[in-house]
Amino acid sequence: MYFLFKRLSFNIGLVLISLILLLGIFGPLFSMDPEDQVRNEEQRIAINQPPGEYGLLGTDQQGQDYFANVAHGVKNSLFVGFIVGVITILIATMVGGIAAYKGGLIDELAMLITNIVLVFPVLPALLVLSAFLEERSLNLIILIISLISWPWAARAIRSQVLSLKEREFVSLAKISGTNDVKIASLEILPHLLSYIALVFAISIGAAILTEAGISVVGLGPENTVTLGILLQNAIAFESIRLGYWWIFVTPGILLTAFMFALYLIQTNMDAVFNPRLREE
Amino acid sequence: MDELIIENSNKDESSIKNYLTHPFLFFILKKMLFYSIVLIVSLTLIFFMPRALPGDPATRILPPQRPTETYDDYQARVRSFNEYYNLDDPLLTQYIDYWANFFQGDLGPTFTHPGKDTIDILTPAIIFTFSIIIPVVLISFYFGNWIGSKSAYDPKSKTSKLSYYTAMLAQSTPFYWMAIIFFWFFVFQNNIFDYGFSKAGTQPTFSLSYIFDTLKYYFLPFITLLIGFTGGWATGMRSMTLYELESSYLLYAKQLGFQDKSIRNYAKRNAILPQVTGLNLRLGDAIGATLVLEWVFGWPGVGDILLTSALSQDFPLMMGSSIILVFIVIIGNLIIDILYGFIDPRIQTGGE
Repeated sequence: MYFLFKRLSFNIGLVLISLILLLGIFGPLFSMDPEDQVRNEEQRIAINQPPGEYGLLGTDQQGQDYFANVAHGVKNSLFVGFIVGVITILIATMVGGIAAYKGGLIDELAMLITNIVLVFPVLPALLVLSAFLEERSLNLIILIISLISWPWAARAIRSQVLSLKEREFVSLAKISGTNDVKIASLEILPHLLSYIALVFAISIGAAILTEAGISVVGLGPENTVTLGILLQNAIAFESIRLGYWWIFVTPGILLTAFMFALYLIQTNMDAVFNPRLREE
Repeated sequence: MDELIIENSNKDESSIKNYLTHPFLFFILKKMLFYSIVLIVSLTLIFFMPRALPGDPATRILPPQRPTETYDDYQARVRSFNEYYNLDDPLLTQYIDYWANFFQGDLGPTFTHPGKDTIDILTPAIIFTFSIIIPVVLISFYFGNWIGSKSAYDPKSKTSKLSYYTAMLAQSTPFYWMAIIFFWFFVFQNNIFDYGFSKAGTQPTFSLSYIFDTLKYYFLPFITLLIGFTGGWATGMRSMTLYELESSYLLYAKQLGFQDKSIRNYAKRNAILPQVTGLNLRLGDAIGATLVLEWVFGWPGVGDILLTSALSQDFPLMMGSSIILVFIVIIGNLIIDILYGFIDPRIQTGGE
């Protein structure tokens, strides 16, 4: 851990992530909910105002304070990422862990299902799925993203468990008559936690990007605001053609910064914890 | 030595049997079996999805009665729809018909393009989609791996770090946002490129003027996708090459006094293997990105058709383009798997 904090690029990533988290957690507390702002007729007078007079990020196409929209967008995007991450981890650990630990026919069957789901490209599958949905709430979108994006995580965790279960302490526990549930939860899971954390971080990033991808096209959640929906509004209200840069630049920069920070943290963790890549 | 010769002569005698049990062929057959299962599962899902919707499929899927239309006309439309899809038949008969139609290349009529079949609309679109995906995947794979391995040889140098972080930034940038920025800068601000596809027409011909006109529309979606993917390959290849350079066989080779050039070559050849495996996963990403980019830039590929039909609720066209996409994904994956077998000699001899 000490070596991790000594690395400049790791700290940059950590600061970026913390700033975005702060914006997502505390931003909405200090700004008005976009849904409430629509009713506020006075604010509708000033639409598409650049940053400055009308707030930190100006106003959007309907005269709403754009900083408030961005803050709520970040909050909802992070919410999508977090929940999808949790569900992904749960499914992946169950499927991958049990498949690897039990082996045999269960393993073959679980991997067949995993590989079939893995062949489907996530984004096109989600676009088709959400086009069939009658009402697209944020929770429903979270559910369908989770249903499709767990297979790679299950495979990754499976390969980790495969190597873990051959270790001596597992064999010793087996010999001394410990039951399977205890071995899995007390012997194998603790060694898996750091890896699960990595998978969790990656799936948060992927989920946020995926949600933004289906929202940009206009098939995302309704009656809410996420970073992707802000981009979709920028397209729908012609902010790009009219050159209102703050409207379409801000959500994209936040998404890029978030992904960049995740990559920085991930590669640095690799460099420190992977003995072959260790530089010290 | 003698045993080896005997074994070889045995192999020659029963060559037909050996041919069938040849590990490489077995590997390909196994993959084909797997992808057939995937095809069956996905086509079944596509069949059941609109039928699982609540309510009568015809009233749900068909566009509502138009103001210009009498009630009888609308009912006639519903009847012809039910007739075409045999919606009054038992589900099993419908399902068998669906497969029969599929093998005859019949994907049904569309709502939004009157008088045209889905397959007529999708055939030119496939060419447009391929014209983006195939060059992007090949070029980004080549250059990304080239940049990645170069930057791994001397990871502490300035140029290496610069190229690494640039690649990482390119990888982090969501492609749809990059598309929006390019759109704003190149189309609206400076008018260098065009969007949409009105002048040249969507029926591809191979005349010079057509190709020249098309390039103006082609460049932006192509370059947007290329930047992101090159970045992705480069960062992956860099860490893979770094990993290989530290492996014991290469450290040993270094001790023996091998030249840097040949050590790098060994590292590169081993580092490329996980990258080829990654092609399978990235192909899905590439297809997803192409879909959205086609829609953003109005490039008339399968993705543009899929999204436009999804947004206008043209379900048959949407199902048709989904089937085409499934096909593209499966064939692409199969080609990559076979390619992997050729590159990794361990597959050809049946090893793991």
